[in-house]
Amino acid sequence: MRKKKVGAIAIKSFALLVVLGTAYLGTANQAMAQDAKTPYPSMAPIEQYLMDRTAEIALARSAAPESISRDAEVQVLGRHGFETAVQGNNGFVCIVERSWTSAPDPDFWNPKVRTPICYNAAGARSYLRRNLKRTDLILAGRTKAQVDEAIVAAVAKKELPAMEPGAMCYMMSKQGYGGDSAPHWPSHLMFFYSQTDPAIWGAGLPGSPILAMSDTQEHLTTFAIGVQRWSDGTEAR
Amino acid sequence: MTRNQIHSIFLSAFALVVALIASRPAAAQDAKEPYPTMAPVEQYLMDRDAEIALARSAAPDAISHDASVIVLTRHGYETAVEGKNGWVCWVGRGWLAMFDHPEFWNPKVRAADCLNPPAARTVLPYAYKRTELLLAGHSKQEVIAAIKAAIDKKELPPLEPGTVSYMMSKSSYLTDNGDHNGPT
Repeated sequence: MRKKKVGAIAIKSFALLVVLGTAYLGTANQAMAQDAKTPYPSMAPIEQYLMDRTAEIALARSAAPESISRDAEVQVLGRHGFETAVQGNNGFVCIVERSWTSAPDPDFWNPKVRTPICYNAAGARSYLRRNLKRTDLILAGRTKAQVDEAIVAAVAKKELPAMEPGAMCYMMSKQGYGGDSAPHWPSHLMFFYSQTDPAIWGAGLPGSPILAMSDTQEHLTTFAIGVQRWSDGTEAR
Repeated sequence: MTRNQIHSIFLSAFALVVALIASRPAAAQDAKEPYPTMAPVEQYLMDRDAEIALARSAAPDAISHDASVIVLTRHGYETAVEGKNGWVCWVGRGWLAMFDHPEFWNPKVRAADCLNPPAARTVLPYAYKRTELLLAGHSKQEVIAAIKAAIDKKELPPLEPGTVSYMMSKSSYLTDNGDHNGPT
């Protein structure tokens, strides 16, 4: 039970990217076959997770087309959590997530992971809050297991909100780094629902471009759909 | 509330068609109302078997094989195939786009679409009503007024959460512009 619970929690959004990569780029097979031992057994010095502020803002914005990211709020990682670097005015929030919210287990502490994401307003008010809390706890020194339990408990107590209708995010950056097990991922969008049957969108059926992941502990269902272009308008191959 | 529901009409699957069309370069053809009025109804109809096949082509076989299929007749859509997975596949016509869309009456439009169960329950009723009224000869203004009234009386439902549609057919004709089907 315990093992299953942790496993479910660990499969965060990036796991979907790995699957997408398998489906569309054929690049992830080798990833999953790579050394199963944990190459990053513990947290690296905090400095290794930080970025130049200007570079981080630019990378965060690369997650969505400029028409969206130009007026978005941008948050950057500080020593104690994410903080607002640019005030936005369209409700979107762009951010570069780190390994502990975006990477599969082998890369959980990989300090090279950089995952640009732009959340719409509904996604920022619901899904993003979970990842911000997760980050705060990680940087405060909590273990992965402690963080998982804290998030699940906060969801259960409604300290963290359910997914809002329409919550989604753009992950269309051609930059970023997904981790050693899946360095590059396809351009895609993600949609967040509170515990929904993936079959309702036809996710995962043969030929369907929609993938889904259900996390019963967090009462969260995430749908991912690949798109044909990067955020800069170039064709995604 | 009513305003939101009216808006939801335009958030149907065919909003995508409109968006695709709007994003394209202007066609060489006359931009001034190329289709000012409804064509003879025969021009909007299809061979029944061909329409069923086109409708199903909107989604992978894993979805469309067990979906219901509706086809257009002289008076509206009717069920041609009873499905068992809650999905409904159909071929939309031009009048399901925005009311001011220049190709509203384009008889060549064939938009293959498969709706998931929430969409079938809450998007299709708007399409049915709009289609039936237009085929009965009502004007656009009359149709808009009738739909507003139906919403007020709760004869038409609000959109359910989780509505989605597949428009993955390579055989659709969405517009006279570009390659007629999907983004380029």
